Amino acid sequence: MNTPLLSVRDLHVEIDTSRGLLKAIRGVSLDVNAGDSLGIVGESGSGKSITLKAIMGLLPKNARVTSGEIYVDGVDLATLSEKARRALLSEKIGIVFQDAIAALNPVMRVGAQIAETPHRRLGWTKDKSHARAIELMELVGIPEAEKRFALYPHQLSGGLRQRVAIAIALSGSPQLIFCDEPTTALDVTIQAQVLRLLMELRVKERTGLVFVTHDLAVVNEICDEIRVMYAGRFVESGSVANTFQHPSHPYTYSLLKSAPDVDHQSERLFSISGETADLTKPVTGCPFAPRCFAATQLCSESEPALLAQASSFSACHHAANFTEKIPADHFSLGTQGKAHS
Amino acid sequence: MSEIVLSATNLSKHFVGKQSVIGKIRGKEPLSVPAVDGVDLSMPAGSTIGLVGESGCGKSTLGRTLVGLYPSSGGSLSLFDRQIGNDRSLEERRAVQMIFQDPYSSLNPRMKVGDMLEEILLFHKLADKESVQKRCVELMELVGLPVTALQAYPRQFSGGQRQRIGIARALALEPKILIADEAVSALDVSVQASIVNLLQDLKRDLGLTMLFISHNIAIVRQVSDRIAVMYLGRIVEEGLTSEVFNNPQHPYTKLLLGSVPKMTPGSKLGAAPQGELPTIQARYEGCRFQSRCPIATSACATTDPALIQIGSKDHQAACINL
Amino acid sequence: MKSQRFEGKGIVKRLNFSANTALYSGIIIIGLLAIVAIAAPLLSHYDPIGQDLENTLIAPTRHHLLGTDQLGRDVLTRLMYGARIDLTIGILAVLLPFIIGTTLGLISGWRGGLFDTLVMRVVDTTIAFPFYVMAIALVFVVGAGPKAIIIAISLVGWVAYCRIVRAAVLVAKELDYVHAAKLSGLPTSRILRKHVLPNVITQAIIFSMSDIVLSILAIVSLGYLGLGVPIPTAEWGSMIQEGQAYILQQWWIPTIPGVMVVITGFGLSLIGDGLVKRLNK
Repeated sequence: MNTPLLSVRDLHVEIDTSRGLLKAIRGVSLDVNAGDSLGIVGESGSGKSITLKAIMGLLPKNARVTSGEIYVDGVDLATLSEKARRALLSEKIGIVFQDAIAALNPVMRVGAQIAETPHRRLGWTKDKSHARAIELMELVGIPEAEKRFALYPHQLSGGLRQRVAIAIALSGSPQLIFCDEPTTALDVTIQAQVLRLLMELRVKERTGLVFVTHDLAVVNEICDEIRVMYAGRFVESGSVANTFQHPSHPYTYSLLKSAPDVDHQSERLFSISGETADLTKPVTGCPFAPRCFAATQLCSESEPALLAQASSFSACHHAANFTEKIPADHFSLGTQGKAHS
Repeated sequence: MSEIVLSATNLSKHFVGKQSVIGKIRGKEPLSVPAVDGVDLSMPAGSTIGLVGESGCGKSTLGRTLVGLYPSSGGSLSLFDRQIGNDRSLEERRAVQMIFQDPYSSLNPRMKVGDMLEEILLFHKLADKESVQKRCVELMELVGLPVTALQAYPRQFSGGQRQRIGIARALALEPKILIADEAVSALDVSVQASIVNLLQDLKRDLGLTMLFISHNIAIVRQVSDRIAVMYLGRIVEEGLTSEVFNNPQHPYTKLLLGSVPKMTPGSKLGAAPQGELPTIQARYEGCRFQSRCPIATSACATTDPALIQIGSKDHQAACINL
Repeated sequence: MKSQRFEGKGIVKRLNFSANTALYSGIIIIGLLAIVAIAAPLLSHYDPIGQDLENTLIAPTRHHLLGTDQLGRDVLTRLMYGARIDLTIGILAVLLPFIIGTTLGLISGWRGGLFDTLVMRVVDTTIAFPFYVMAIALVFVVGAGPKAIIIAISLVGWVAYCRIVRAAVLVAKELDYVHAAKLSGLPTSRILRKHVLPNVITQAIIFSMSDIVLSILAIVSLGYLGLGVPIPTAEWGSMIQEGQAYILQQWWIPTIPGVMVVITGFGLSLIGDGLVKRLNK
């Protein structure tokens, strides 16, 4: 068995907020091998973006990793100096953010930004870096690459900007790409192009993919593995095929039920009632219990661990039989008479 | 056949670029961009029409022209079979209301919710000083907010709650037609469903007609009876939702629907569409979709296709190659 | 993409007061100044312009806490009476520009078109005008004193408010809540008054705080140039001007009025700072 490209063990991250200390990540572990495609889904506030940032060392100044281990290509990041850590990370992992216009330097030509890593970090000559940048621009499907090399980010459309961001992420020839909602702000046909590009990269270059999103349909189409995140932990972990067919956590089940499917028209949309857990307060019991249709007394007392179930791992006391507990009209709830979000 | 409450015939909305003083002196025409360029749309009473399209297609502009926020630049609009012009009477204004996209800029931050509703109700004499308080309470109940919300400022609410307030504001005028302009796009996914459900319930209970503008095709499918697909200022396909989704005719509709990621197991991405989203030009030679169309022919460069019936009565598409 | 760590800016961070700290400290400072100014006759039994030629240029003592100036007048008393002049004129000289500028900016930003173009050209012309040249001309016409100062400052001061409010209106009129107000059929005057104005005026108010400081500086400068409030009336600017000859021995005579200007400015900008934070929450 090869060493995984990335291995995270029991990661904990805390954030200082005006409301107190927020435990944003409470024990996350994952392994990614070359060519894997892993989707991390969750609502906003679940901690999925923070996970990526914590691994890459991009946490904001009020956040910090409080415990856990991160191994990149077998090397424990904690044993490296700051400089060596950054060097290793930027060599092995590229990252694409949601908002390309914010991630790109507005006063630098896009070609120069793509050529920066080869030129500065890898020490290539200017000509070689320029050529590599053009190569990458063509790889990511930017037409008329030579012409577009000299443009500034604001002169490009949203879709092209995102491709530039992907090209920059690829410029160090990483073995793994992190994507933080990279297509959420894009139109659907452009999203399809960007997703297809990522799939091709995976096949052609054996690049691994960790894709953070709230869109289950995207995960269905481009990921093999899925991690469902809630309140700073994975509550379900398994293959996309198994998990979508046989979810073993009520939250996953609810998420699947609430995702509008373009192929079917249903009477009503299902929404999960209640609000996400307040992680500035200590967690007693399962954080999803207040919103869970299968919750029992046990659920509010003890937080379940992520354990193997029939087809995936699930953090639920009732993973085996919660489907029997679904109230008859639960998925056709009205909207009146409750405190609403 | 239900009556048509709102219909647009050959409706256009142009935006005129700024003109310098020198330009004026030299007699140059300012640049005029047709965001909506000859749209025919009919809204049958009680229906929900979904309007989809990508950035730059003009769906938002169409919505705002229909609601009367923008004066139209051409064509005509009829409300309840009566033509209406760019200057609407108070009654005409009340009949068509809009729900906006951004929950953070659609409410006056310096006005309490209750004051905002009272102002509208009193101005239109929909309530008098004695009954206005009661009416505000009713409106809060309609949208699922507690009565205490009336005393609060918008900043004290979440995105979903603000949208509910926006809906209450629209409903205060007792409109017949609601135009939801990306009403849930700025909300968290889990909140979107509750607002969509609310709109559907209200529509049913109050007998409204709704135009649901969105770039989220999956949600539009859930909500709409009929669907219209826009591209660069024109409607390129229109018909019953099930018809258009199951049997898309226009190459752009096929492209659009094919690009939406699906929830069905084993679904993998289809062939990727080519090309970038073009920006609106002042003038087109032939069909606007040529540059990205997989079935474009030489005839497409000279003919500007009109909407033609496809098979069943309730399905039209604008393409000469069908 | 490096991760950043915020280090070493401790002092600046510590001086970054919370909104309320700034606001209340500023209010306390200005409040104290205002009280002293109003209560001057009660706090001091000396006559601010009464000369006492036997007791000139005395250093600070028990009887004269800040000493006396070259004509035997108690410096502290003059300072207190001077506060009256400077604070009053400072505020008055801001009020008129505030009202004129805000109104013009509101209409101009909302309507656009020819009106807006004309107003903006007038604004540009006014800015180009050298303030002190005009002030001197005015003094010749109207005579030195508070009237000339207020007119001079008003003629020039409205411009800033006009631009600030106009810019805010240009933004506000594209916001959805203004669209919603239009859609609900409310008349334009009502929309401007209740929906647009309350949201654009905050910027003008915040600016007015620093504008008062600028006005006081202008008054003091004019006083220093001999164009302001005529001597012997106590006023910080003329005190500096008269006292500058004595700066080497009786340094407090010209210096302390200057310090008063600084303290006033500090207090006002604290208020402005606090307001920014409060109003932008």
